[in-house]
Amino acid sequence: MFIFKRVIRLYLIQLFAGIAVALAIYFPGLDLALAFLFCLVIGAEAVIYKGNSWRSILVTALVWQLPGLLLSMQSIAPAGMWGEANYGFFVLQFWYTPLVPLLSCLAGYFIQGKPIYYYVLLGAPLLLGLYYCLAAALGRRVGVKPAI
Amino acid sequence: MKLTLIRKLDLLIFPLLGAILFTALFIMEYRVFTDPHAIMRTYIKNAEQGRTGYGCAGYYNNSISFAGLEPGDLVLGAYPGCAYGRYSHVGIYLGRGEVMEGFVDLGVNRQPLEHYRQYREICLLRVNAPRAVKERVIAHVSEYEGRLFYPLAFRPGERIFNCTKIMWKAYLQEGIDLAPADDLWIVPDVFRRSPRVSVIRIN
Repeated sequence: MFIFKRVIRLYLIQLFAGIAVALAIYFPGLDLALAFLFCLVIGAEAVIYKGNSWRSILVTALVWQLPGLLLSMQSIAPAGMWGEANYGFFVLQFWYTPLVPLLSCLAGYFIQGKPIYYYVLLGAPLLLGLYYCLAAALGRRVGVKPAI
Repeated sequence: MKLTLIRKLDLLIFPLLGAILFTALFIMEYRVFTDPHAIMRTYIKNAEQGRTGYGCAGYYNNSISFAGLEPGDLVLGAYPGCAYGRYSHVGIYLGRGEVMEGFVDLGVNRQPLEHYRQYREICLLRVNAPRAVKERVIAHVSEYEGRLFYPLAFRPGERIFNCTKIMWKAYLQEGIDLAPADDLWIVPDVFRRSPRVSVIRIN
């Protein structure tokens, strides 16, 4: 039940952060601030929860990043296997809109003809999941009392 | 108590910021929100009829001739069923068979001109400007190479681009506004309708 509540909260935060960041792109600079805020809020979510056994933390991170994982896999699947890879990457970028301003700071660097942000976006489910787990570990280490 | 407050703030902060930003955008761009020909209205209207995104991608083997293209010319491609207009995509011709354009997975990048044959329709446009101006436009466009592509990139800003913003911004730096009408975004059709261009060829 706690895992379910945590995952729903993370989905809601990501959804509304996506909308806010997409609007903030109109105000250059503000979009970067909101992207950083998104990372802070996700970190806070990881740190403050009760019952944060490693199992529950990992399950939360996995379920939260499941859509991103599936989209990443579709993006690199051979054409015809799961549909157009390009369309999958398109949706993947929309799903990770809260991170787009941060990715835009990686402009100009290429690996094998693709911009580095392409690889970071593909790995975003793992990176965000890892970040969540590290933040939760930090919460346990400093002995943050659970909010519920 | 502090942690309970953080819990509530975490959930509320982005809806609140989104509402504030939307309100600010609405006030600043009021005319766009009330314009029946605005791109977002076009998109919504087409989406209601089942058209989404850039349309039905594929390889349509267009046989248009690219002879006579000069650096600075615009190359528009159309897939059937595009939700934001007749044309799905645009690039700017750099010369030597190369185009600068934007894709979601490649960002702003150079591609061979010949790949446009995948589009069902192609339109070649020439911007009415001196060669020296176009050479500077090409230089501006080259500076954007590697920047991030995001479909909903607004006009302001230098970090995030979509396909139309690349050449719009480059020409704007030379005092040529290919999309002077008020709107949040620019679609390839706007270039087609611009009084600053002439049509070289359509197929």
